[in-house]
Amino acid sequence: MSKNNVFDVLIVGGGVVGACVLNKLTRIGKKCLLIDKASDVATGASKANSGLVHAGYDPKPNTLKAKLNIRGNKLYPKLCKRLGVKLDKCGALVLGDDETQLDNLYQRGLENKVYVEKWDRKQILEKVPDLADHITCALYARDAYIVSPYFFTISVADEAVLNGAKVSLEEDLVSVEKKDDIFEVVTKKAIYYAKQIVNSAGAGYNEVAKLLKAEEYPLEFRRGEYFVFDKIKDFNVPCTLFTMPTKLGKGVLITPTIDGNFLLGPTSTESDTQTKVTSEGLDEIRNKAQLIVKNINFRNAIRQFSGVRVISGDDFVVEKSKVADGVINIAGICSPGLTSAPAIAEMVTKLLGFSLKEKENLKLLKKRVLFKELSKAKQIQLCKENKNYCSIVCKCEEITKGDVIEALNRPIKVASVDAVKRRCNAGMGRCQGGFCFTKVVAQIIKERKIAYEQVKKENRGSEVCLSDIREVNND
Amino acid sequence: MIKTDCLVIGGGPAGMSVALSASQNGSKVVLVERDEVLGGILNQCIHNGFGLHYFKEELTGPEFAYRFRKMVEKDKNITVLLNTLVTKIEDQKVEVVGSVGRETIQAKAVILAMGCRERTAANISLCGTRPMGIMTAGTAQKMVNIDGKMPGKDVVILGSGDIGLIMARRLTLEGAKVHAVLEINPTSSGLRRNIMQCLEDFDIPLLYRHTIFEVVGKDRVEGVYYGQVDENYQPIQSSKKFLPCDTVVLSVGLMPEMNLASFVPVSRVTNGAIVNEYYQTSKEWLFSCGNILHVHDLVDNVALEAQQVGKFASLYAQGKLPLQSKPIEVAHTKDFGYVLPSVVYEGEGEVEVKFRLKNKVVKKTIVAKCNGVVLDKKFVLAGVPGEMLKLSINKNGAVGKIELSVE
Amino acid sequence: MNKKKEMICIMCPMGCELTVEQVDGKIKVSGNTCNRGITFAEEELTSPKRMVTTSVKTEKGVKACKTTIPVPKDKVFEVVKEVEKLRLKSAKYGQIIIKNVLGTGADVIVTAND
Repeated sequence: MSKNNVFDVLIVGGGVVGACVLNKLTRIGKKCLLIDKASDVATGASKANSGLVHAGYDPKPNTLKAKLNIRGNKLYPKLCKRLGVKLDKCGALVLGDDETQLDNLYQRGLENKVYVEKWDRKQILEKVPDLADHITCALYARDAYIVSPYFFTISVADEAVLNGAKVSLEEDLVSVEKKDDIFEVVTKKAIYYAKQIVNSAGAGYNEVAKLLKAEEYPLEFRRGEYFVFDKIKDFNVPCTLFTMPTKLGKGVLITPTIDGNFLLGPTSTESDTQTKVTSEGLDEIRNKAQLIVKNINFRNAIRQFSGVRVISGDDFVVEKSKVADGVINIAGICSPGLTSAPAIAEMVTKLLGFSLKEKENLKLLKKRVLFKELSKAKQIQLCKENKNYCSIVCKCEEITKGDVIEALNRPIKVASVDAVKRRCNAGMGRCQGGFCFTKVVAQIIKERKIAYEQVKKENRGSEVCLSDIREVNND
Repeated sequence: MIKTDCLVIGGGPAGMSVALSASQNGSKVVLVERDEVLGGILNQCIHNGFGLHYFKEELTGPEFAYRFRKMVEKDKNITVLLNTLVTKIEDQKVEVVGSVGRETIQAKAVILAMGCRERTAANISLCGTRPMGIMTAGTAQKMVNIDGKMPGKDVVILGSGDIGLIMARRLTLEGAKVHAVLEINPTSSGLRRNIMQCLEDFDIPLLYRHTIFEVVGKDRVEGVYYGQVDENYQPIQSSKKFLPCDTVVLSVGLMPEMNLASFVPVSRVTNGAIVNEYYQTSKEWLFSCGNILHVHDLVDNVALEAQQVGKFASLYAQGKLPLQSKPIEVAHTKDFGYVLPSVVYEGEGEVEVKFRLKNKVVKKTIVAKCNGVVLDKKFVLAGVPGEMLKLSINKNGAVGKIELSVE
Repeated sequence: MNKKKEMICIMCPMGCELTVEQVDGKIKVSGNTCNRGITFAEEELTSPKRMVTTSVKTEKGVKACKTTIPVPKDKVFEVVKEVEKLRLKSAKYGQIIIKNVLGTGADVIVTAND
């Protein structure tokens, strides 16, 4: 046991919850390690969701979901400002044709102490000219935001690393034993020691809980499929548009994304943990879209994706294990998990027995500013200073080589094409990487000093090529 | 700010040809290319079959590009900006980022020659997971021919477009096993000779009316569920089969990408700009040619079209383009996919009209009529939608509307 | 012996649909639109040939190359194997990298545009 591999807290799972816990604990001065089996943080549900910071009118009052949602919503603006992550307070409208349902929702909003208004069709039309004909009323929630869920998670984790936390990726847990009040965590890569462990493994919660000898929960998986639309100007969605919730959740929504696209979805289908898109799911979205706005042109869709939410009963599970001392269980963090994550981090900090008071002189993450976001004068200047910014890698998103190099040199070092995409948007445009894929690969090879064959699309097993030409082993 | 007569965007076959022609017609030209070498996609099309019409000999893509590049490099009136990308076009001013840094180029005429892009998995709503191994034929082509890397060893190709067929052969020659080419339509949009020399030569099955129902695999493609579709292109579930593979190559069509010039009207059929006889878009200073105008069958035709357009653009830049007289609409019957240009002008002389057929025709005549009078006709022994056909129309006396039909 | 075969002419992108009949040793071609179709059909029936395009490995990656003339169809894979044996220091446009490959009379030359 060397001092280097002993930690106050070890966090299993690098989704938005794990990253927020890591960030908070690091900021209060704890030595932490986050491990994940993936090749990057935010590769599960945290990368594939609606990217909404919910106002909090929706959860049942006094549930953990309600408390954490409302607290999380309040924490976001300051947190995003500190991290330099874009957050847009675009507001949300919950559209419906049933005044009683609206009243109930409005009451719930008031009970949760969320700023809500009741709007009639005329008011809605002013904001949403393409509104579907049957909509008569809406609940307006002012304090709803949009954010990039993966870039937020990455930034939260990066900031922690900048302040001394350790993130180790592509880790496979082998065993966990408690010896003299300290956990010995054996992975395929190394042995770590930790005083306490946080299980934020998301879909893998039960597998980890088994190793920790902590509580396992019946988990239900629901797949949500989405369409992503091009940055079109002929169609205007100024805020997040929900339809009144049904028993199956929030139904489909349409929302602007922080990058200027539109997102339409999700479905909610019982599933396994596989993220796939289905013709049934896509058809369902196509049909339900008409219930929100008219004239959606599906020819402008540039991608379909799906995310799997993990659900455990009606509420979130955030608790101290009653059977495994020193273990914190975090399970079933479905919607509004992204919103709640910073609040969950505070709650976990307290459950671990620590105060929320942060250290002084913490380092600030360098704010990401993409070349395309700069003024023309600054672009001219930057091009003169650094030739890498004169070279555009992704033409759909106008991402320069300089942007890609910056993405590869953030605190958490990654070596996959998708990880680069999440950090600087290269490959996120209408050609979906058709033009830039091999250029991004080339940049990864250069920055990481690895072979072509070692570059991955995402996780282990997703290597972008097999071998040189004519050297394929066909046995 | 850089100033020029003609600004050509794109240094592929269309861009190089249009630049040469504009220069030969007396204009100063700036040619902007995003890559580090001129040639565009030709550089990765290392197979032969190019140049028969233009150079009267059969060349590979890079050779075709090389010949044009040498001509462009010799031309003192053409300034080539490599590694340079246009980010915005606005009122004869074009914003670029590249070897010249961040610049603005002002031109009297701007010519779009950026080619097209491949339709993606999203464009066809491909179902299943999104692992490594799903790629467009062009990306596969770049990996194999430029990077010298094998994307996989067990390949299924979806769509029988020409690049897909060519890649079936390339991947086979370089050591992969191509298990099948699936084509959702009853016919292929690829050239017949490619079906023969790329598939039949290697016993690669081409299954018509078949498509992929679902891609399977978490990190890497593990296989596809595929099967037949009915007349409405709906999957016939009873025909569903599993085919293990590690790579799915998509060859499902090409699309002009007009986002840089989204302010001009675009045809719903070609996805390219709607142009007149002189290949002007709705903005008279903005011209279009090559695959960004309409997807061509042969690079030779791209170069020839661009040659015409270079002349028009150059004349426009010098204020010498004939004044537009009354417009004549160029219409067509349902037998055609599209006809281009959509507007010609009253006056003397011949105008070349290009078109694609909607269905295969055998021993038919294409007729161009105006008010019942036959202006021109062309006998077609066997015409397929994959081929771009041309008709030279004598427009003397024509007014109002010219209609093309198949008789 | 009489043989009848349908084939697509690959001499140019027109892709004419040829019917080739061999009657008492004489070859009859129909469906062609130019004379090259006849040459092709005759050869395709007796000794089919194909151009080979592939890439040669160099110290700086791969460079496109081709056979200068078509080679017998059954030698296509072998030609690629011959190219695979090479590891060039560099490769220039037009450079002959294999002379008379496998005795076919075809040279293999570099075609890469750079």
